[in-house]
Amino acid sequence: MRVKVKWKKSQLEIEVDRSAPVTAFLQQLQTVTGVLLAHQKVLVPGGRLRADAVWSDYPRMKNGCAVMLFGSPSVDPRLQSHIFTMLPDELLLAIFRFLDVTSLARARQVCIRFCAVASDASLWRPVCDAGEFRLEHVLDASIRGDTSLHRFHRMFCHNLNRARTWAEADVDCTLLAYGDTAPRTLHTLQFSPLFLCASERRAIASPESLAAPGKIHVWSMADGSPVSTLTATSSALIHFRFARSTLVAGAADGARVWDLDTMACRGYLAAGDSIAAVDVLPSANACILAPTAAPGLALYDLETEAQLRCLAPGPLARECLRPSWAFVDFTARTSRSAVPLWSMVSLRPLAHAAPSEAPGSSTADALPLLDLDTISGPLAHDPLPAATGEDDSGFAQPVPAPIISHILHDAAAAANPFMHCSAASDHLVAGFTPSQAYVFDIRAPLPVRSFAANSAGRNSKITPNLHGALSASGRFTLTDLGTSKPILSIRPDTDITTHAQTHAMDFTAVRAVFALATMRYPVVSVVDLQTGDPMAFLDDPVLIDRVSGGARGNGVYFPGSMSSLLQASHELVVCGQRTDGVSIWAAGLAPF
Amino acid sequence: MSGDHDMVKLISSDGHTIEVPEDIVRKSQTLQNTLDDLAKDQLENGIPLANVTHAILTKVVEWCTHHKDDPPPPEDDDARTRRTDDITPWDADFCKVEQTVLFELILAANYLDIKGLLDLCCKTVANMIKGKSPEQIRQTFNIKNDFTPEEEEQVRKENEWCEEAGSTGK
Repeated sequence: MRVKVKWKKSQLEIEVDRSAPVTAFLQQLQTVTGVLLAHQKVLVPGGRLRADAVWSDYPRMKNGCAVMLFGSPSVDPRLQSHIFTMLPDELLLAIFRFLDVTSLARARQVCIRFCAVASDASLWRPVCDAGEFRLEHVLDASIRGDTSLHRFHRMFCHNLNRARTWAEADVDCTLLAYGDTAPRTLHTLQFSPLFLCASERRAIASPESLAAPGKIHVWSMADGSPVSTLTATSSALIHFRFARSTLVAGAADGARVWDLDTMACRGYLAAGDSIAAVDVLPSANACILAPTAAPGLALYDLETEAQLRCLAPGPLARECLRPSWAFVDFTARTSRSAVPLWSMVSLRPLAHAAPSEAPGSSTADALPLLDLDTISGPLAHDPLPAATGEDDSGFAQPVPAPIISHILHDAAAAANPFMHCSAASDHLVAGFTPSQAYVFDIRAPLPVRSFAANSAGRNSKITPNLHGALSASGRFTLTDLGTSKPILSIRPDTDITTHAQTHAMDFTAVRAVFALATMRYPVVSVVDLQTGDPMAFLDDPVLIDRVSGGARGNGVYFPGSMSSLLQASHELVVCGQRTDGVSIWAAGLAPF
Repeated sequence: MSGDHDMVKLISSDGHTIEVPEDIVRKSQTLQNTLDDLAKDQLENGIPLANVTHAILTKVVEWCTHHKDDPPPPEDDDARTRRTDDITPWDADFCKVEQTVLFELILAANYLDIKGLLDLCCKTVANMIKGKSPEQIRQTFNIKNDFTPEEEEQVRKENEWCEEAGSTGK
């Protein structure tokens, strides 16, 4: 049966299947006209057509009869409920990347979700780098005293001018101990930490304050009591790290070294340059300094204070300064698809070392491969060579260069730069591009495996068995490095009712910690990796941008970005926040 | 049996099958990986695309066909330009679709990993945001303002520097 449907000014011919229910006809009308079922008023011979009626109720409806439809087409219901809900955060972020500064700022005013996504550091960092706005404006806005929003502004200021500071008054720093029950305050400070490191024994932080430049505070993790205050330098402290009992702090005029057991200053490394980043080798017998101006990383023997070697040039080297047990690994944008591997073995003046090669040299492959037995030996117990003979001259020239054992290539995409890489053991290294992770056996230059990492690289971490990555949309994926198969994929923010942004993560074999921020409150979520279930929410305010760390208790700070950190170790969760202080929990194990 | 003319069957989420030349299909990184990973006979029945409807898939293929000879898009980097005024007339026409379709294209381009198309659609949406006040942005996309008055005031205050500095930035 065909009917003529009169609707507005048009007339439609529609085939009616009388064996089908009345609603099927109404559905047809909706498809053709866009008038939703609920908004339709349909008049047929015999009265109004009801959705719950049957065709036999309308015996006067005949072939060719006229039907009147009243109602206006609706917009797509998805449009009514905010079209951006269709997109996950990472795609919203992809759109925001094309906004100019003013539009981006206005987008933050639209709604809570826009605000959270448009505040992402990755959007603002290029703006800061490009100097697209003036520092004064940022400072003016942030001095008004809304502490909850300092993170946003501090991000700019820190990028623009690390020496400038503000709002240092009235900010508490709290060290919390977390036992089986409630967190317990260890210590409260009156400053906002610029850097934070913690191990099982010590918490170390330095204030971001022009009033007390170069001070480093050390507390006991056992009871929160202050242990000492070290004066690192008369100028501003730039970065510090420690391993075992050795603390190295870099400043504008070089680096100082302390023994954390005795709190005595062990020495001074005159780098002849301002230090951008430092690291201490796990063995604590050597450290690496990244000078601000000069390219490359300088290796220092901490016993003799002599510079052993300049490791490699590369603008990003200092950002990725992170030695593993076996080697220093880093990636530099200039090296594009290759990751040079630096052997720590050659820290020792061994005769077998190959001639020094210019970093990135194409002949690096020809160098002898590392003796894996030597590498995997307990480096920590290997003393650095007692200066062969006497003082610096012993190191002056006969010390062989750290060798490039070889260069690892991302064979799949030669143009694909590694954003970051990590070394987990003596045989495994992973390089991260924005979308892939490549797993290498260091004995071979090509990756043994690759898998989709869905991460911008910096929110990635590997352990000897696991790779964890936090995607831009906040999904955490844990991958078995042995099989390259994902073994866990969770969204840590699902238990937070308001829209939450996951800023950072760290994990160990048993649990992962996530820093979540919402518009209203920040929280750290601890997740059991065996079950994927939340173990605890640590609600002491923390806000984190980037994270690193490892089971050895070294915090990591990358200059040029936010100084906050989140770190999981065997027993501790350490969270840093730039405005409100530092929190440290023993994550639900034995109280300490 | 020239390799260029091999056809690949793609099955949309609503069950339609379309045949697309392999070189067009390879514009999608996701499908390229699939093609490389699967043996020929495994492809006989077509590749099901659970997240892409027939209508959207047709649009995607149309775009890929037009752009099949484009060089691969440059890699991302931090200094990536924020230009949105470099859309070609053909692309601009291509994007003259309903908002829903545009957003579904973004989802599809992301799922299929077609960077050029993803960038194009994102730029188009960005252009719909640019130059508008927050309220105008809400109206354009029918977004509910879910800030409390206090929060809204706070964000507005934070942005004052940006409005003032508007002339210094771009």
